Amino acid sequence: MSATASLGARSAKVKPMRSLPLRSHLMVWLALMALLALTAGSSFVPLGTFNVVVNFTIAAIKAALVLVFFMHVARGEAAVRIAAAAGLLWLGFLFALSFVDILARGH
Amino acid sequence: MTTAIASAEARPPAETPAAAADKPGLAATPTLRRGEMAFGMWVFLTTETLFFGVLFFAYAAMRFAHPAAFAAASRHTDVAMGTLNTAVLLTSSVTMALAVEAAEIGRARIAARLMTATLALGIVFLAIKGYAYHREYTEHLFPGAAFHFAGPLAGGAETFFWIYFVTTGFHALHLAIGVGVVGFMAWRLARGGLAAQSAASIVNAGLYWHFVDIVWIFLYPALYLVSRS
Repeated sequence: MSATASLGARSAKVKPMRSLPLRSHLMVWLALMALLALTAGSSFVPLGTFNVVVNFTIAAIKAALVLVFFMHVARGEAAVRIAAAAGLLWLGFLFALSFVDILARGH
Repeated sequence: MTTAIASAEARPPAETPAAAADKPGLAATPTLRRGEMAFGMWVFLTTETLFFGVLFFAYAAMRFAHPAAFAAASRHTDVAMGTLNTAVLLTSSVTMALAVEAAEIGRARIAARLMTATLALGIVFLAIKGYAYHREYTEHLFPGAAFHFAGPLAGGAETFFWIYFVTTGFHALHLAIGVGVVGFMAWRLARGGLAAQSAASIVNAGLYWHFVDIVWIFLYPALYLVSRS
C-alpha cells in the first residue's frame, strides 16, 4: 500500500517537467570528460602506487555519476536500492574473502 | 494491454482501491508495473555485476601475483584508442539518458533520434575495439604459440592478455546486444510512437546501457593505465 503511494508520488513529481534536462546532462558529461582527462593524464605522471589509487578512485566517481544522474539509483524505490546494494555487498564478500585466502597462503 | 489487465487481477485487492483513490485520473497498474519492470532489470544487473566481478577479481589476483608482467603487458595496449573509446561510451550514456528523459515526457520522436545517436556511438566503439583487436593480433599479443613476450615476464603477460581479451570480449558482446536492443526500440518508436514502444522498456534499456558503460569505466584503468609513467 505504501509502495503504491510512493510510486504515485514519484510519477506526480516527474510529470510536470515538460522539457529535457539538457543543462544538467551537459554538466555531467563535462564532469565525466574532465575526470577521463584527469585519469589519463595522471597515469603519465610517476606517482608510484598512488597512480593506481587515483585511477580507481576516479573510476568509482565516474561510476557514481552514472548511477546517480543517469540510472537515478537514489530516486528509485527501496527495492531498487536494495538490489544495487546487494550486488556491491556480494562483490565485496568475493573480493575480501578471496584476497584473505591469497594473502594467508602467501602464494 | 491484456497483460496489464491480467496483472491488475492478480494483484491483492487491498492495493487497488488505495491507488485509485490516490490518483483517480491515473491508472495505478501501469505505474506499478513500471516499478516492477525496473526492479527486474536491477536484479538482472546485480547478477551481471557478479559475473563481471569474478573477472575483475581474477584480474586483481593475477596483477597482485605478477605486478611487473602486468605493467609491461599493459604498455602494449593502445592507450589512445582506449581513452577515445571511453569518451565515446561515456557520451553514449548521456544521449541514452536523454532518450529516457524524452520518452518519459512523451517526446517519442526526440527519444528515437537520441537512441539512434546512442547506438551509432555504440557502433563507433565496437569499430574502434575491432581495429584495436586487429592490431593486437598482428602484434602477436593474442595468447598462443607466437606470443610477443619471452623470458621471465612471458607467463604473467600472457595471463594479462587472456584477461584483456576475455573481459573486453564479454564487454563488447554486452554492448553489441545493447546496440541491437536500442536499435530495435528506436525503430519501433519511430514507427508507432510510445504506444508501440513503452517508455518503461526504454528505461530498462537505458539501465542496461549505463551498466555496460560502468563496466568499461573500470576496465579502462585496469587494462590501459597499469603503468604509463
